[in-house]
Amino acid sequence: MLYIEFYNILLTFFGLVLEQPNFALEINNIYMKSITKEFLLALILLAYLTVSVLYYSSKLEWSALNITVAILAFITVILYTWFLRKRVAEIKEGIIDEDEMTRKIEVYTGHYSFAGSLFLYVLIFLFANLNHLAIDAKCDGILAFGIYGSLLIYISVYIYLKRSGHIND
Amino acid sequence: MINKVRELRALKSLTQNDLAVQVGVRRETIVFLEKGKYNPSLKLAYDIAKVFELSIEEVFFPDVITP
Repeated sequence: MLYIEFYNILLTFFGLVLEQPNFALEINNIYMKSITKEFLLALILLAYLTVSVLYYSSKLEWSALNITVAILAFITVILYTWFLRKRVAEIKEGIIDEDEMTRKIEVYTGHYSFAGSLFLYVLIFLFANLNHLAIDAKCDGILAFGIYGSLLIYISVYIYLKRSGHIND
Repeated sequence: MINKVRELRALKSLTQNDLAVQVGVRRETIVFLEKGKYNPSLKLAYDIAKVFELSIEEVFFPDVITP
């Protein structure tokens, strides 16, 4: 039963991911601008989901890392689809999709979230029992916590920079 | 940096969106700029000053004037 539900969720992923190259092509048609980056990302997501379906079809394992990867895939697909939809709507209205401020925010977010993620891993390893850093069950948990943390740091830093105006410092 | 974009825009009866379209940025960039939360690049400052038919120094000023 659980297996069938999980499979349904993956098929929903597929539906959303298949929409993305469509959006990317629509942007290209309207904007007449190269969107290789978006198109490649959509294709990578599609390939990633294909591999996930094949993997989970053959072997269902509920380790912390597998659940993390599944949740991250879900979040990524939802957010990216929402982002592409918004972008298509904006471009249709004649709104510029990217300018110097958005680029600056992205660069600063990358910088701060990378530094934040490094410190997060330092903290994780400080508090984790170092004997368990070898490949075993606990290593999954540490990695999963780190991935969640990095994602949270990136989103938080992006929102903070966008609202505070600290990119002027 | 502080600026007179809001006042000059009102004088010209331009909306934030109008100005954004004329200088080729997003409306939110103009919003942040007017609030003093964003320092524009030299090119954007030049483009904005050009819309108001003024020089950059007449639109943008440093927070602290250095001798």
